[in-house]
Amino acid sequence: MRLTIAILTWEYPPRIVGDMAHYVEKLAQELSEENDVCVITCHDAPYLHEKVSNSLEIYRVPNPVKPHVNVVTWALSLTSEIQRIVAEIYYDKSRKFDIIDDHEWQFVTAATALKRAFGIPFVLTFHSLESKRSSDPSAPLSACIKGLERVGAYESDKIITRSKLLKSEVESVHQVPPSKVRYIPESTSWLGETLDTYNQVIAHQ
Amino acid sequence: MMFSWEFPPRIIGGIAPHVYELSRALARKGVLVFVVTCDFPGAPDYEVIDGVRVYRVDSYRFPTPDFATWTSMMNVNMQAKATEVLANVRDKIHILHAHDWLVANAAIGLKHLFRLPLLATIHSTEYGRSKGIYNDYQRMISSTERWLTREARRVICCSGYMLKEIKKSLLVPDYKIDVIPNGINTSPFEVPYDREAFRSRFVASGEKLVLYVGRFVREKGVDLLVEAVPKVLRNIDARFVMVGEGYMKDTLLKRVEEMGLAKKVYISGFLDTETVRLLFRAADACVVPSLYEPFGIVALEAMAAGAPIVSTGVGGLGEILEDNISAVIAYPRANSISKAITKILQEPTYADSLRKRAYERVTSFYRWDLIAEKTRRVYQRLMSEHEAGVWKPQ
Repeated sequence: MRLTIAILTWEYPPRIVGDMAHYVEKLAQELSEENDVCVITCHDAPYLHEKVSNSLEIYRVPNPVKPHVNVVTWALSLTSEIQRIVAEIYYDKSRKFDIIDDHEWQFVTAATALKRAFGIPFVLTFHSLESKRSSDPSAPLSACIKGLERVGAYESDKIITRSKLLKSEVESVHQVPPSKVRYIPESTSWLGETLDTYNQVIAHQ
Repeated sequence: MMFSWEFPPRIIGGIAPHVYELSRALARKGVLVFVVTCDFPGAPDYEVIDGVRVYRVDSYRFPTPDFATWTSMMNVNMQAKATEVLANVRDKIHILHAHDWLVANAAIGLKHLFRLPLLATIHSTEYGRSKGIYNDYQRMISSTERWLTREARRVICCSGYMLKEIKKSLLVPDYKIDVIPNGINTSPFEVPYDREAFRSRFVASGEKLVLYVGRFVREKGVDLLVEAVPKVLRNIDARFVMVGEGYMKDTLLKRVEEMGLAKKVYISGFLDTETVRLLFRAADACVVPSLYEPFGIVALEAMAAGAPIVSTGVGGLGEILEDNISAVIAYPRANSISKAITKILQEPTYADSLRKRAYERVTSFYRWDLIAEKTRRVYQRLMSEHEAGVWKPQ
């Protein structure tokens, strides 16, 4: 079955901050061979819509509020813009997404609201956790980020991790049952397993 | 559906009483009002108050680096709850009404998700609150205010003075703004009480009672009032009761001591609402010497209670009060203020006419049902503009 997939990510080429940009680009490109994919991401330029192919579109939105005092306020005002873009695709282009794949904590609240408003299920892909990244996980800002990860961990229908270690970290840090977290290694079956996860979630609706 | 970061019993500033009175007055007019707000210890998550459906959400109690970050986190919960409610009663809710930048994130996202028209009430601006924008924190808040007023189809502010400020600092076009003043509920000022017994708590017999209510900060001009005291006392015996808190309190106490007025000026801290209301009613004059005032609710309270007002008429005050009719407008100088107070204290018939005209004015223009009616008309205009727009109702 051909799926219509929305991918939410805070980095996507040419905005490359870490390895995640390349990972999400590869994911979007490979998924788009058999499915329709929209990547919704941020970029500090005027609104930019790029049609890479018939089945892959990139939407880049700037932050509506400038400047910001920290990454949490930055992500959360951007979240409303992400919601706007998905709503515009939904209403104006009459495209119903089958699933949202959100990467990392930045836009989990966009995915949560979209799920509640339009009934689109969402998968959350963790690339790492704040409590392991941060030098002081108990600092207020890290606690906020952890809180947002927690929102995502509870509201999502399934969690994907890229390593076994991260799978067990997600389970212990956010207290989610092992059955909710799926570890998908980057092997030949990577794309198939990802699609399988999407389909499971959709079937469970 | 209204969004407000405070709602009774959670009262931090002026937004809580405003949203409380406005939402109830709208409900009395048959408008179905939902309020989404922050939780408060002991208050239920959901209740119906005089027809208003109030949802209280977990407002994120963990430590945050600063107030703006807390606001962002609070908006996450507020939006999640509101989305749930909206998805269930989608056909009953036609308008989103946001109060100040504190709820911008949640309300703007919902506007797009549900394609509902958004209305914003701007109670004050960062520019006005801090007299300019000096750092990135303030720039961020001001930018959020600009984003909210840009996303909102219409914007409400409380005075012509605020209209200018919004146009200047947030660049909102004229056609989008409606000026609707704050209202006042006069009934709490009408309950019977023993005037003489109450007065005896504050003044000796034969002494006049002059009242100041407000924060002890520079922009309220409270130091001008203290400087005006000796000249009033030269002509008439009076006691000055000053209610409030603020960073100038110690300076004021010291100045009063220096001037040898400790017996004539009573600087109290915060007093409970009931006592303050009775003070307004018992006062022979109420002084509002502000140097900056977006609106001036204190003037409405004095008018409702029948306290003759001396004011500088700055900002929104100049729109509420008329010189020589409902108040005496003085220059923002001690000399002028003392003359005005003396005139009111020495001429009881003049004071009575001010009292009467002020009461007439407050009941004919500032009753909550009138304010709610004006707001309802803005709602109707918003709806017809929305229906004519490109967003077709689902």
